[in-house]
Amino acid sequence: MKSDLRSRRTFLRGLGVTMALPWMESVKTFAATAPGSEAPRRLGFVFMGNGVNVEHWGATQGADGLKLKNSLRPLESIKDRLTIIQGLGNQSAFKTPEGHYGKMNVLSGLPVKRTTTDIELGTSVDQLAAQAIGHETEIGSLVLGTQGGGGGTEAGYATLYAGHISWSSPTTPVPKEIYPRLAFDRLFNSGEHRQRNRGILDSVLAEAKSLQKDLSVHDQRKLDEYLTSVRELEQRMEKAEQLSKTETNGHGWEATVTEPNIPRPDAVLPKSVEEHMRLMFDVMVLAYQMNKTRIATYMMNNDLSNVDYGFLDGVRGHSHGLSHHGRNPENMAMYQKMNEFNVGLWADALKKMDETDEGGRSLLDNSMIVLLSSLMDGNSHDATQLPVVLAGRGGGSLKGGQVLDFTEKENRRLCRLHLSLLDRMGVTEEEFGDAETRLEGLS
Amino acid sequence: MKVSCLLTVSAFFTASAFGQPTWEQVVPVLERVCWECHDDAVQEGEVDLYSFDGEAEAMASHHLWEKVVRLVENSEMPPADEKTQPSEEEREVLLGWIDGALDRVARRNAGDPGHITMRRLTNTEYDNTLRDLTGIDLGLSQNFARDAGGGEGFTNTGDVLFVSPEQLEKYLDAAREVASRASIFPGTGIDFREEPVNLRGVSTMTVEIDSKLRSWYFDRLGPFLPQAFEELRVSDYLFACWSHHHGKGELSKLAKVEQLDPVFLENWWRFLTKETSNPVFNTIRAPWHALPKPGNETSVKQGIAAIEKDLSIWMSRNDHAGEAERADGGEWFHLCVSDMGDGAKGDFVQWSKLEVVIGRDKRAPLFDYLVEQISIRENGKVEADKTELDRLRATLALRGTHPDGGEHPEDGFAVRAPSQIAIWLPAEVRKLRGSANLWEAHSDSEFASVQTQIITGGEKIPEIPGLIPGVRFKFASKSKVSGDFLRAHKSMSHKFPGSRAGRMELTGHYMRRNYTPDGVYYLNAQQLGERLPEHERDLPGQFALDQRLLYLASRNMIREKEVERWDNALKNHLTAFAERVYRRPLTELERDAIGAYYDKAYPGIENREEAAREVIVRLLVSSPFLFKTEPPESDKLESALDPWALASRLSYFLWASMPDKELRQAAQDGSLLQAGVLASQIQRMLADSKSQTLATEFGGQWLGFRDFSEETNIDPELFPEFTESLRKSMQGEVTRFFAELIAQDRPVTDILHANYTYLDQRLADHYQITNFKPNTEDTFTRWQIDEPRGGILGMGAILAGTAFPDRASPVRRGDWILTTVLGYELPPVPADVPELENDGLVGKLPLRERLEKHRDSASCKGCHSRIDPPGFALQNFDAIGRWSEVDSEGKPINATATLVNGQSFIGPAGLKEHLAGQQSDFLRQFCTKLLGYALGREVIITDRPLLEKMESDLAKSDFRFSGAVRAIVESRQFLNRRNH
Repeated sequence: MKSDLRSRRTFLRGLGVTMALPWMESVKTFAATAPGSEAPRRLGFVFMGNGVNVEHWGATQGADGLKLKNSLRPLESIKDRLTIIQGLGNQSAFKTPEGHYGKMNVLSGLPVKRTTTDIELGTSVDQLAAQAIGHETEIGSLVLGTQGGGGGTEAGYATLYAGHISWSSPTTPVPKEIYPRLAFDRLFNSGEHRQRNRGILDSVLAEAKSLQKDLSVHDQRKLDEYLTSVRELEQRMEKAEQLSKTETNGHGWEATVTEPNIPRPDAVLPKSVEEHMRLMFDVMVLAYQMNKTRIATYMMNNDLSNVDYGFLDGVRGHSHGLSHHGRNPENMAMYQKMNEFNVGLWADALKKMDETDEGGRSLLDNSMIVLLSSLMDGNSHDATQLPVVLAGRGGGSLKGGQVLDFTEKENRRLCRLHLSLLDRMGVTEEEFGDAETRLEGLS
Repeated sequence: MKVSCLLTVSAFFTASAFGQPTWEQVVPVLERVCWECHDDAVQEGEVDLYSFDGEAEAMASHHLWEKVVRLVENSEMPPADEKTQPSEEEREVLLGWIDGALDRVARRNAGDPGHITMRRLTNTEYDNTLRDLTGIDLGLSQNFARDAGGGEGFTNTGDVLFVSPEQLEKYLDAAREVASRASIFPGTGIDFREEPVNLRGVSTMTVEIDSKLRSWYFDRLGPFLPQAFEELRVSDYLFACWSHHHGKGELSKLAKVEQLDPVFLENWWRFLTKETSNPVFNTIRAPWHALPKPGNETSVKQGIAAIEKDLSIWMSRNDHAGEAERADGGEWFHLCVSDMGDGAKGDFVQWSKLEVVIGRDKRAPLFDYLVEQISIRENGKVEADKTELDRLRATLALRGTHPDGGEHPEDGFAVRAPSQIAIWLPAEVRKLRGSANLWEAHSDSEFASVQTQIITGGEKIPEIPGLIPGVRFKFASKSKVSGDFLRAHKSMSHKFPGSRAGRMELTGHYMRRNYTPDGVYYLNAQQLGERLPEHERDLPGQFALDQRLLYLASRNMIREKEVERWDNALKNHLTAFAERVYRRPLTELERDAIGAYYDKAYPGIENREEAAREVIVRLLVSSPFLFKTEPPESDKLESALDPWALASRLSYFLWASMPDKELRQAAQDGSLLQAGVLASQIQRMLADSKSQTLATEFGGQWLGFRDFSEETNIDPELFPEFTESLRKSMQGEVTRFFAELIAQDRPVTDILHANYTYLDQRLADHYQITNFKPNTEDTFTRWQIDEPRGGILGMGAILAGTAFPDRASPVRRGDWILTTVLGYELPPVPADVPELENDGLVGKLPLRERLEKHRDSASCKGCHSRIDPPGFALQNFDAIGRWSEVDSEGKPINATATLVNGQSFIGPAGLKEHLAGQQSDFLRQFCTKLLGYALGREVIITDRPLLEKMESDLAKSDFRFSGAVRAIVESRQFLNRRNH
């Protein structure tokens, strides 16, 4: 299993070269919350498709804190908890005249394989974290969205790339939950059949193993995916059962929210785009509040999304269409409205987190939620640097209220941020994606 | 990938003058244009085009060259900012060589099955398979993550069908949904309900099996049981038995000759010949035995007719024995009392309340009437007839008599059985009625048994029999003899119930209790089973088993042996179910594993049905169910599919579901591997309604309409007419069109050129068809349709599906026609280009001119001069597929399309004519997509010869859909698999 390998590797490294490595320092500094009193850290990634309006994105450092540009205005009241990171991108992104699919590696940093069959993008940072520490909560990680995974192929790519930033292995995208009802229910799976389900998983696992040896090498690999899923689900169930038996989470800290504070959503997909996006945020926040999971990834929409933003005043067109504004002022104004709307929804979720007191510190203070897109300028498919905003104080491990500008720096690799965030979740990696160093200046 | 002749794209717009370049010719081009970055040293992008020594070596990496083609063809390579760019001639040499060389590779290993990654069931396949497994359509995949597309753009490509813990959890939930609907009995086995059954006890199950059996046998038994009395053909059966009795042949032979039911005849024979003390039976049996010997057939027939009449009376029960109405010529009434054949001990009967009915409804007590009649005659008011007077006086004299000197009512008299009293009455008397009661005061009355009856007839009538058919038995209230008679009578009514309902009720009664019925017009479980279709043959026996075990269980009388029987029965059902779930026979080990899992689940669950459900859940999340597993013969590079794997490939190709019974049968006996059987299965399966799924899964994914009604984004404020129902109608039209094309085996060229479509009223209105007459029996009506509609290019789902939320888009339509319909590959869209609505020229120039302006820029022109024209031709169709002469700005629409080569055409009709000229490209695209769908993989270079065969087979069969299907199914690719 992947996580086993990883932890063994970490262990071996620890034996051999402990003190020599500079990263050990960060391990010490940011090791996972000590058992006892403090609330755990939460990690989140929120994605919006089709880039941003560059003219109004970002912030500058003012004397009395951040001066937010228009698109980030909705975040004004919590700006002291923001780290505006400028200039980072995926340097190893596949260079192609095609504008979208090849740039969907925002959470993995590895090349997107141009293929319609044997797809590959790399394991994403959220899933790596989930594989390492996800077993500590009932749910390893929550992967949410509002649109399906995409069908068909285009320009030599499987279009599913545009609908997935979360990958559990280099070749396996994690399915997003797009039904608010199902996402909600997942948090409150009563465990009714847990015991029996585990028996079933045991049985099908044994069967699949015995069948595997008769398969071709090619098919064995596919069946491996199944085997891994079975084992992982089994572990999750085991963990959930343990957690359900212990009074607290075993760390002495208890979630301050113990009952759902939102109604169970309807079974059908909401007709309104806004309601849909908002509901998924609600579920994500609730999962954090109740400590059902510490890791969540949410695609507000897919890249290349054709979601109609006509519901916004003065806007005509769909997400992808709006991004190609051709620098026409009227169009840019509409694109801008879409940007502000997206950031506004995110801001609402963050404020809700800020209102959640977790014993002296708010949930937002304990979190690290990244908003990002796979393109900076959607109009020109520019991905040399990406729009990245980090919200929260990571349980005191982030300074906040600052702009970190890497535009002029030599190493502008986005994966450096991921490495830094992993550290803070207590997941130590020597390297991730294309990066081997952490980001300076976060704390 | 795209394996059409590489030159087609250019041939469409320019013309190629180059033949087949050689390796020697291409090396200088590679050297000048490619090697600077792609040699063995630099290997930019890990691509080395240098280290090959000759064509053979180069083509060992043919995938690399296929990629080169795509990149060079789309001017992605060399990159635009690279100084060295190929000349037109160099490009032609390079592409020409690669094409030729690839073709040589293709032919060398033509029909390579290629790698097909083991395929998980797609969401659609999952739903369809469960539908066919359970008979209920739950659509559970609604909650699953959507499948993505891969390969040739279809969701059934193994590489993009993932399994994740999240998905697995959903499979578990779905499997529980299914299993909760399972009703599982030891005898009748597993069946599935629309609503959950869930945990339930023995008594609930008993009620259920009873009602299930009842409705089943009423349904099944009915046709075999006679209805009216005439249908019983009593005389014919009696005569056949008589014939057999006198050595005129075996019963079965006689049954055949007389067209009698052999089972009923057997039953008759047994009834007539089995010794019995039942006096009621003997009223039928004795006269039959007394029939004359052969020689006087007429009197035999008469005797049989009399028996039949008696039987009919037994069966209908004579409720009018207490009165008689004068029949033709019957001058006399007779008061009859039988001793029921057991002697006359205590058999004293009092006749009383005797009354005559004159004319319509004038009544008078008999004795008063007699007095009056005698007096009239004595007074000469009526001409007195001496005989009449004597007869009247004789009757009057009965009043008050009693054979035993006992008491008697004023208006009656008593008799002792057997007794027959003849009464003459004047013709005006229509009816005589009276009551006859046992004289219970007699000391022997507890032994009394009589029947009483008033009949009409002549002065003398035949002696009454010991037992009068059908007449109620009379016993004293403290009778000691009634039991035997009543039992005898009850047996008779079991042998011959009075109605078919009664016959069925009793059959069911016996079947439920697992007794052998002793009737005549009956079938026992086994006999019924023999007359049922094969799949129901075992049912009666299964019902019997269910009833027995449940009966025992509900009374806590079940013993170890029966529990074991129950468990074994469930295991057998589960094994049979598992073979359908796994789509192949189980191995010994698997069979054992199912039993073991059941046993393991049982102690924890304490309920056999629930334990069996647990096995169902387990089966439905197992890898052999979720994956289409094709076990290889691993020592060979390539091996033929076994018949089971082939059956699955075929059914998932044509039905997106599991093989049905007939297909499984052909796999079981191996006949599926015979070409003739395979061909006839293809025809059968395409004609089956399950092939509809090809319309959405193949047609819908290829042409992009599969999820039209859910995914199309049309601005509801700009187009309020585009309602939910209109979307559904549009989706319905295109889906139905494809489904019918496939089921009726129409030419695939209809896709573009059909002059018919399928409409409902809403769509007809939308299309402004004024003379539309809907077929009331169907949601959609096949309708002859003229230009500008006809074919998919005139269908709402296609036209709105390629629109932007706020307007129709000639660019998207053109792009769709070129890439999706014709299969041309276009370079990626450059960045920094506004879509049309955002070009700042809205309202300043007509759309068309705006587009033309848009095309002016050099970076756009190359592609848009190809993309836009076909789209222009459809410009009269607005964003939601309505026809209009003017655009949204009120300007007249110009639907003229002019191609780069100067050729031009106008409107949909012109476009279709133009497309007819591109038919070979269209067919190649169709075949490529169908092959990709069938195999669940990308089409590869070695498929070229098969594509050519498909095309030529299509041409030979008037382009009928099945032509292409058959070419695929009979190909080396489809019948074999690659193991390494």
